[in-house]
Amino acid sequence: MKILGISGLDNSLSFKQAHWPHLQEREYRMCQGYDAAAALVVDGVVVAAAAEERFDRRKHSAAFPIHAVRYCMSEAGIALEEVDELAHCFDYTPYRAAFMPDPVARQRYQQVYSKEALLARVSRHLPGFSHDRVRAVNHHLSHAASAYLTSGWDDCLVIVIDGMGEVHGISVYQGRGGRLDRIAQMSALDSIGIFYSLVTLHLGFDFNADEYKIMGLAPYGDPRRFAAFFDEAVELCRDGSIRISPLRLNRTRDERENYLATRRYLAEHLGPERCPDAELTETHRDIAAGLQACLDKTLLHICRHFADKTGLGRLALAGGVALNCTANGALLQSGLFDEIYVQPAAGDDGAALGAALYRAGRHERIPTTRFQVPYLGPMPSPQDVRSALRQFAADIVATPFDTLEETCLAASQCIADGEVIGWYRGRMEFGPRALGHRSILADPGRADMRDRINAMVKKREAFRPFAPAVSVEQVHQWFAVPPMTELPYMIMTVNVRDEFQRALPAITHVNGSARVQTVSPHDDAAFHSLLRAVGKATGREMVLNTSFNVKGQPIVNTPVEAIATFLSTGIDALFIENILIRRRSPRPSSSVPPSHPS
Amino acid sequence: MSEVEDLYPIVMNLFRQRLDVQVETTETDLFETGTIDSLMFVELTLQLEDVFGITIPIDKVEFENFRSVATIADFVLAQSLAQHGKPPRVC
Repeated sequence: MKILGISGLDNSLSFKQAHWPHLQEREYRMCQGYDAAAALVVDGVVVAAAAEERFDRRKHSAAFPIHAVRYCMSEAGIALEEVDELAHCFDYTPYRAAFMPDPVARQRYQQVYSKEALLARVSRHLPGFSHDRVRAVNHHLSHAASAYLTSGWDDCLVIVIDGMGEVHGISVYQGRGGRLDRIAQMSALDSIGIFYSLVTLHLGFDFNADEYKIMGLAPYGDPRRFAAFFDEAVELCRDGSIRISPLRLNRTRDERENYLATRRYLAEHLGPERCPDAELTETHRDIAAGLQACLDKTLLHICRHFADKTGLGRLALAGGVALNCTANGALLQSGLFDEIYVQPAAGDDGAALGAALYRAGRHERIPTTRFQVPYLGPMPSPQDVRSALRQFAADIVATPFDTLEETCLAASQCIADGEVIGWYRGRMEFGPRALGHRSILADPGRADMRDRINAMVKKREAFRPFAPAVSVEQVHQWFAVPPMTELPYMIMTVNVRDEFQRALPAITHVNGSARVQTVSPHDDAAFHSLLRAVGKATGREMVLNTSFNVKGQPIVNTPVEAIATFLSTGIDALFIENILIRRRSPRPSSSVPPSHPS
Repeated sequence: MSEVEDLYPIVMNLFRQRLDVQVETTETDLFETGTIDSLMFVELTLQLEDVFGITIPIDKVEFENFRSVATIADFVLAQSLAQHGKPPRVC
């Protein structure tokens, strides 16, 4: 069977804009259907997956993922006619009645959420595709399938936790024998994901986009200052559920749509909403700390209850909240479970994958194997690379190497010399993290490297930490984990060993944690070879690894985008496959010179 | 009071205590007043199931049954009689 999964609701935003025309830009993020993606499963195996944003270059794009679909078809070498099913990761049909009382909700259902609206979009973008082969899959079930059917486990607890699916904020399943049985669901009226996003908005950041920044800000604050507020706001119930009273304050259509009453409540209790560019104060840091502690506690509460109830020792997680590395790290350290797996594309891009896997599982047995590091996106052909080099020939000097070993040696020397390099190799990652195929790399041992990369490339908030990629053989030397611990998806924080925190200033967060990615030869032989070479040059098989993009831009996809981004920033050198690229003329004057070891 | 009127105070209580919503009268139009949106609708059906021990297949219900406390009571009674052959027990 060939099953194509898709996510996104491409007219969801335009519907909101038409009915609520005077909102701030960032308030339009309070809307369902971002992070459109496509994923192709052939005979139970995931062969391709990519987010639409990487093609249309609009971050979190909600557009119908036509480019991602075309890429998946091309990767598998099949035509659309050969696709047995198209599975979309929302199914509002069972809740139709709930949208009928209110005229605007009814219109939204008919124009955005309904199966008829989905079929109209399919007809527009994929003309001729039979409607009989279009399936709608419940949103949380899609997420759950994405976690369970890639976990490699036959039997485990599966928890989906996000802003909201159709009408729920949390769903709990037991996965067994290839089946998912729902144990519990919690209403989106008590969504910890939405609550976290609303506090994110209150702090001057973007709803349903910048939550990871609040996670990064949190360790700078004191969680005790607002602990009483968050304890009262998020009630942990005995049955494992939660109740979030501030989310239930909204009574009118406008209040519900934009959480106006909740936001007033936050302003009354936490102080005025911060303007996006205003200074971050101690109060903002303390709110972030309190919120993060609240999420950590809430996730533990839910997981503990259902672990006790089911007796299951393995946990698979998905949903946007499962991208919160700090909460995942706290869960890992709690010892509640023998093993925890977080599906690396835990957001709605991954729901496209889950919808496809779920439908595939209805027809055939899905292999019980752990998801590889998700290098499921496009890989440029040698012609693409040559064409890009020709396009920028006036601005760059390209030096090809004969072998991977020579390339790694040159790249490791750049890193050891304090240079910041672009590392573009192989298939693009699926999910929000750059895991060594579309990455910016540097030496984590330099005190000024964080500021330097922020200034030259990322233009991002100074408080945000960078993550390390380390060989799996050395992870225990630098981080407080057992030998050969595998954390290949950069989705959990662990502690940097006390004695090395000062030696690793660029990747050690203020609380001593780091968002580690381990790399084994099995995960990615080339990236592992690079880390080995870096180890010989610096004494550490470790690099600072951040995504290859500038602020507001999706991660680069094509070689042209990689070179253009390289040239527009202060990145010192770019490696595309086995080719070293440098500027023909000196760097832009705004760039910062290489730093010196601390 | 009739069997259905016996249910009125229980439904009114359900709104107040379980949904944090104050409904003025048993005839108040819950749709016109914006009391019920899609999320509240789903939550209401779950709470009715819990309180009255009935099953409400949300994919099959007519939303008009939920227009007021009075129509909800009618619906609950009818469902209970159809499913259990007697008026609802109150959990």
